[in-house]
Order: sequence, then C-alpha cells, then structure tokens
Amino acid sequence: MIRFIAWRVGGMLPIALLVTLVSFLLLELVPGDPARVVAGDLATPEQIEETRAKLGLDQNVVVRYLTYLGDILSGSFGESISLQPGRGAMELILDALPVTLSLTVVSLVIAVIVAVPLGVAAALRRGTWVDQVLTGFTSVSMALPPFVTGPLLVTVLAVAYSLFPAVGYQPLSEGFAVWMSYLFLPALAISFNSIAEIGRQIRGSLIDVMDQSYIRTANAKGLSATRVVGKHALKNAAIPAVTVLGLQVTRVIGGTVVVEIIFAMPGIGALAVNSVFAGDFPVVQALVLFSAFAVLGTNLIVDLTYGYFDPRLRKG
Amino acid sequence: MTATIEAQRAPEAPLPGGRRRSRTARMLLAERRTRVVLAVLIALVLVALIGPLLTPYGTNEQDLLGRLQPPSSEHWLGTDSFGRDILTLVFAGTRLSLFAGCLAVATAVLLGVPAGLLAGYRGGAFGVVSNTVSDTLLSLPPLILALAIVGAYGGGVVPAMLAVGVTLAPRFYRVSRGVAQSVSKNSFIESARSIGCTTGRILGRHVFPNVVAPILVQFSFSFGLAIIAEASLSFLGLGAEPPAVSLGTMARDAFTHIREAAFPIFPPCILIALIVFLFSSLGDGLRDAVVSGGRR
Amino acid sequence: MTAETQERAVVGAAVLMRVRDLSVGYRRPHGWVPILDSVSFTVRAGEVVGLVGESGSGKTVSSLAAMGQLPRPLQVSGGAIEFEGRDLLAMDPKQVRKLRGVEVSMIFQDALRCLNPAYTIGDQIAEPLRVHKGMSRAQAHERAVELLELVEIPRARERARAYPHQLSGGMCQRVMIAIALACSPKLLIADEPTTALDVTVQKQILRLLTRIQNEMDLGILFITHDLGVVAEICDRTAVMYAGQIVEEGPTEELFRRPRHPYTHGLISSVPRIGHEDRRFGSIPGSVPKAGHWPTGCHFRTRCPYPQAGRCDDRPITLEVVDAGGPSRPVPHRVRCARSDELTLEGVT
Repeated sequence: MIRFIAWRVGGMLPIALLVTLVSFLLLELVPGDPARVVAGDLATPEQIEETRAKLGLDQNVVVRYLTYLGDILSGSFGESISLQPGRGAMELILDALPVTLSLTVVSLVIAVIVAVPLGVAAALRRGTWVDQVLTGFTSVSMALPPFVTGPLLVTVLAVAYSLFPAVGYQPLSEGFAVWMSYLFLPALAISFNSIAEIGRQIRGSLIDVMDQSYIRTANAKGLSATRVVGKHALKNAAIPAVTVLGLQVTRVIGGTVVVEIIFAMPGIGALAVNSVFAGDFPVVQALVLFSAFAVLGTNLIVDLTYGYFDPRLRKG
Repeated sequence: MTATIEAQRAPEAPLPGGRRRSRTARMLLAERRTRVVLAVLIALVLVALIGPLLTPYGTNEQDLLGRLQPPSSEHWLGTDSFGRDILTLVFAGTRLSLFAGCLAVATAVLLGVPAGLLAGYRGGAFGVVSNTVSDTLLSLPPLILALAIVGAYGGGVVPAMLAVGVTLAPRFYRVSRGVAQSVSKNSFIESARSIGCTTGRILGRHVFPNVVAPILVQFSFSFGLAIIAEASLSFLGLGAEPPAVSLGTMARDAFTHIREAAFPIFPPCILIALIVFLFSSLGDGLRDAVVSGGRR
Repeated sequence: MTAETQERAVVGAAVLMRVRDLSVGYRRPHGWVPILDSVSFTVRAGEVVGLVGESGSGKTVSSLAAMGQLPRPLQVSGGAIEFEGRDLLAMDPKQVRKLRGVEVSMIFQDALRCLNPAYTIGDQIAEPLRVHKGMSRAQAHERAVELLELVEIPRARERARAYPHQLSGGMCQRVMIAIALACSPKLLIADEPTTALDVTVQKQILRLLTRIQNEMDLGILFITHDLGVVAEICDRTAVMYAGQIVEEGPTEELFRRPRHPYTHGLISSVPRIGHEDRRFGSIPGSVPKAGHWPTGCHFRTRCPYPQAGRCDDRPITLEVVDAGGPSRPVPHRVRCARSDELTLEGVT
C-alpha cells in the first residue's frame, strides 16, 4: 500500500514541477514592467527599483525560476502585496480554506444523495417514462452552471421568500444548523452539474453491471431485489462513478469562484477574484499552485479507493 | 492519472482517408434528435447574427430615466440598469458569447489535436512530454487558470478565451491521441509508410478523417464549457469589457441590481442555459452516433 | 447412474419438479415469437435428469423458467411449472423467490463470471445462509468453510478469504456448487457447468456432483450439449430441438436404441474410442431460429427421413413408444411421425 502511494506520488512529480513552472510564468505574462505594476501607480522610480530588487526581477528567467522553486520547496509561497500586505500568501489561503472546503463537501454530498437514487431508478426502469424524465432532468442540469443557478436560487429562495440567508458564511463552530443554512443555497447551486454527471454515470454503469452473470447468480440465490442491486450491483458500478466524483472536484473548485462572489463568502474562490482585482500576484500564484495540488491530491485519493471497490486492482 | 470516462471505442474499422468522409457525415446525422438540435442551433446563430436588424434599439442606447423597466410593448424584455433594451442586448450578448466559445474551442483544437495525433502515432519522448503537459493542464481548474492569466495579462474577452482554450486543449489531445493510437496499428498505415508518405501526409490523409467524429463530439461539449467560462468571467467583471456586451455582463448587471428589479436576471441566464443545453444535446447525439457506428 | 438411483426410481421417489406443456415466448411489434413449445419434463428426488440440445434449442430458457428467472421480454404463454405440487406460475413472485437458493438452486456455465468480483468467496457462500437461514456472520462463515471442504477445495479456511479472480475455473465452479448447496436444496439445476472447463477438470466436477447427489439425495436437472457427459451421469434424458422435447427416456435406452432422427444424429457424431473406423456423422444445416420453425416437425428440414404429408402439415406430438416395465418404469417417448417405421442405429 505504501509502495503504491509512493509510486503514484512519484508519477505526479513531473506534473507538480510543471505546475510550478506555469505558476511562475504567470508573472511573465504581465504586460509592461511588472515591477511598476506591483509597486503601484504612485511609486517613484526609486521605489520601483526597490520593488524590482525585492521581487528579484532584476535577474534572468532561469535564476528567477530556480529561486521560485527553491522558495516553494522550503515552504515559502510569497507574501501578499496588496490584499493584506506582509502576510504570507499561503496564510491567506489557509484562512479561506474552511469556507471552500465546507462548500465543496456539502455540495458533493448533496450531489451524491440526489444522484445515486436518480441513477439507480433510471437504470432499473430503463426505457420507461421514469428513465426518460430522469435522463431529461440530468440533461437540463448539465446546462445549469453555478453562475446561472446561483442568482436564480438567490432570487427565488433568498430574496423573494427569505427562506435562506442570501449572503455570508458562518463557521461550523456556530452550530450545525446555522452553518448549513448559509451553505445550503451555494452548495446546491454548485451541485446541479455534479448531480447530472454522477447520475448519468451511475445509470450507465449500473445498466452494464445488471447484465453481468454474477447478477444472475445473485438472483438465483433468491436474494431480494434491494440486496441484489444495493449489495452486488452497486459495488461494481461504483468505480466509474467514483472517478466521475473525483472529476467533480475540479469542477467544483471552479464553481466556488462564482458562487462565493454571488453569496459573499470569504472562501478561496473569492480570494482568487479579489487578488486578481488587487493585482496581488504572489497570492494568485500561490492559489494556482494550491488548487492544482488539491486536484492532484484528490485524484490520488480516488485512485486509492479503486482498490476497495475492485479487489482485482489491488497490488499483489 | 485517473482515467477518462469517455471510452474511446472505435466501433467501425478505421478506413483510409477518402472513403471516411462521406460515411462520417451521414453517420453523425443519422439520429433525428441530432438533426433537430443542430437545426435549432443554426437558427439561433442566424438570429444572433442578424439581430441588429431586428430591433430598433442600439446596444448602447441608454435611457437613464427608463432603467430597469419590466417587459412592455416597447421593450419586450424590459430594460437594464442603464436603460438599454434587454432584447437587443440579448442578441448582442449571444453573438459575443458564441464568438468567445469559438475562440476558446478553436484554440483548444489547434493546441490539442495536432499534438494528440502526433503523440498517438509516434509515441516516444514526444508522447511522454505531451502527456505530462496535458495532465498538468488537467490538474488546473479552468476558471482559476483563466483568472490568473487574465489577472496577469489584463482583461478582455480575447485573453480570457485563449486561457480557457488552453485548459480545454487536453480533452482534444486525449481524444486525438487515443484514436491515432488505434488507427496506427492498421496495415494501411504500414503500407502508406512503406511507399514513402511523410508523417504529415499520413496523419493528414489517413489518420485525421477517423478522428473527426470523436473530435466533433468533444467540440460540442467543450463549446458549452467555454460559453460557461466566458459568462462566468464576464459575470465576475474579468471577461468582456464595456462597451462590449456578453450574456455574462448582462447577468452581472442584473444581479447587482437584483433587489431593485428581479426580471433582468432571467433572460441572460435562460439563454446561457439554452445554448449550453443545445450543445450538450448535440454532443450526446454525436457521441451516440459514433458509439453505435451508425447502426441502429 | 448407479444401481441405487435406479432402485429409487423403481420405488417411486417424490416428484420435485414437474413442468407440463410449458410454452414461452416474447412479443415483438410484428407478432409473438415462440421460444418453447409445450415442453414437459419431470425431476424426482435422487435422480439426475439430462436436458440435451444444441444452442438455440431452448434448454437454458426452460431452466430459467423453472426458477422463475425468465429475463424480461420473455413470458410464459401456457403450461404449468410445479415444484413439490405447488404451481410456481400461480404463486406470488416473492414466494417463488423464497424457493430460490433454498429449495431449488442453480449453477451456471463459466463460473468465474458468475461470482461477484468485489466480494470474497467466503462471503458469497455465507450470504444465502445469512439471508435465508438467519445465521450470524460467524456461524455462516464457519458453515461456508465446511461447504468448501465438501466441494473438495483444499485449504478451505484460507481460501474462503480469496477473491474469485484468484481461483481457477474448476475451483470457481466448485465454489458455485458450494453456494448452491448452502441451504441444502432438494433440486439442483446445472446449466452447462462443465462446458467451459477442460476435460480432466470436467471429470472431477462430475464426480463431485455424483457424490454429493448420492449423499444428499438431490434431484439434478443437468443441462448440456455434451452427450459424453450425459452418458456418464444422467439417469434419464430429454432431448430438445428448436423449442420442443423430441425424445425422452432412460439414458441407456436412448443411446442403445434412439427413436428420433435427431437423437440418432447427435449420438452418431460423438467420437468413440475403439471405433475409429466408424464415419463421423454430423447433421447438415443449423437449428432454425425462434419463430422460424418449419410447420409440422421442427426437425424436418434437416432430417434424413422426411416424408411429405406426414412430417410437414400438422404439429407432431410426443408419444410413448415404450412404457417400460417393472424393472424399467421410465417411459420412452418420441416426437416423430415415423417413429414406428424407422430403425435407427444406436451405440452400446
């Protein structure tokens, strides 16, 4: 098991390296003189030169990249220059993390709770009107990105009917109900797309699994339909569904950007937008690194769960 | 890396170049659903293009006294916070959104397809490197990368869409590589090589036509994603810049003033959902056609 | 096929399953497609009944129908299926389900695919025990190990923790048998259990089945296309062709003096050691597809002895040609218009 993890992590190293390169090169994209941009419009020529030296911009590209890489490896991810000057970029990210983490988790939980019964029902009643309605629903859901569902949900449920608070966030420490009341609408807004993708995948793989010989055996054993589907079929249908679930993380991170702004939640997405507007490049760079590593980490975890679902995939 | 769900099966044996083309077109359009969706899309595009001729208002005709009016006989969809006619803006916005989508997907195709074909056909060091690049791009959430690029380089639809295109490229890369790999195993490729065809010619004439169908499937799905990305960026204020109007900027405007007038949020949102739905359905229809190989 | 079983047949053992005039088919836009046409057979306690035929003859459908497991488009259009006197077709599906795995069990071909790859074989054997007999996890697991020993799997306790993909085909089939026997059923339906296995393993499995059958006084319906297997373990055999039973009777009798041209054709095509000089017979043509059966006798298009006017105009019925006697109480029936005229060569 440890060997498996080590092997996978090793495989990710080139990618991680490239990610640092991408994040580094962002700064190269800045048109004009980055030192001037960072120092601000009111900076004097001396201040600009100071900034240049401070950011190491007076050295050539390779040296700068290696310095950057060295910094990362030693755990230093740069300092915020405009949002909260002086504080470490990673600190800001970690401050914002609980919000986004809550949002992501609740969103995925909602997605799974809705999508699994939906997919199972559609698969078991394949071809009937139930299947067609559910499949139609997923098709429409696919087309509802968070930035459409967000405003619509806010308009209907928060502004018109005041069922939920429209903005803000309260941490879990304030109590579960309070925490959930602020999270529910934004998480729901993000989950539509995930419901669609997960639901479809479950339907597809369950249909395939139900045709397998071992399902016939399970029926021949006289097991109830619930048991046949719930125990025998689903475990085998799970793998592609888990893969899709893993892919949702990337999507949800993108979704949080819009949703956190709409619902005024101080999460990582909002941090991303704010730091872009404030020209706080170190924070932007740190965010790129962070989100990429989050995705890579999630993929690793998904790969590890495969071994649980399909014993054939376990090493040795 | 985690596997892609979209199993790239090649149900029909790949054929050498010429014979492929007409068969592909007929196969893809076999299902009625596909034809219907395609027709609606084309109609939508046409309407958006001739939009300016249909409405008496200009996209920037402001009427500050008549802001945020509900739908009426003068303004079928009402007015926005600057008093502009929303229906006119819808046409303009659709145009821009469609253009943005084209830009992003074109970038993705140009980056992903040639690299994928070459990697699938040749493999080797190039394959390893491009796989790594592709995987790297896949690990970056599209919106975050687009934000970062826009933040560094500056706003506007074009840089944003190029950025989105870069994040979409790996999908096309994977599809092209997969098909190229399976096609390359065929003997007609061997024979082409033995008579001295260059790699370019082989890829262009023999491999590429077999890739067209799956690429079109990806194209449809990616177009929907690109439109969403553009709209999201514009909604955040980082995409289209005034005086340009996109469905995203309309949504932003409407949302900012949501408590004054609820209606304006609906037209852009519904339209985005509609366009994305059409492209998704088109993608589904094309994919079903590819998978069933045209057999009913 | 031992003296014991013959004796039991004489004494008149309990009838476990009686299928009478069963017809099955499915509906298509252009009409009804028949799959089974008035199929009847009986299985008694302690006897092994063979159901032979080429693929497409309807053998598997018959067995699935008997278990109430017909796949969706197929429906029963007539006849009765009785288990110990109870009409399965009249019963609530839930009641039928209660019989499966407990009174009637089934094993299939290609055992590896019939086992769930996600669970250990111990779990899969224990499952019917926990569900049907209410055993605790520990009890069921203990019994599972016993069952594995019963089916002659070495190092049973260790092996119980293995996954199907870690076992060979023969072992998987033994596991299937263990699962089938877990709740001590009265009837076992075996659908081509040895077909995917190589010859030595086949023999082992057949020996195992015979031994278990004797010990548990099990009734077995053995479905196969392999006549060699039939000769080896079946007391009685029914031959199926294109949805109908065309001949049935004591196995020995069928081989020694077949009364139906199809049975004769099948028997002639089995190579026999010591008779290398005999020509290898084969039946030209192939089984007609469901719904495309010839009028009258289904076999007439491939039969070497068709006669116009008798074989082609009306349905042929299954008739007794030899009612047997006190020492052989099993009747021999044939579905052939010319059965009283034809003399077909058998094997001994």
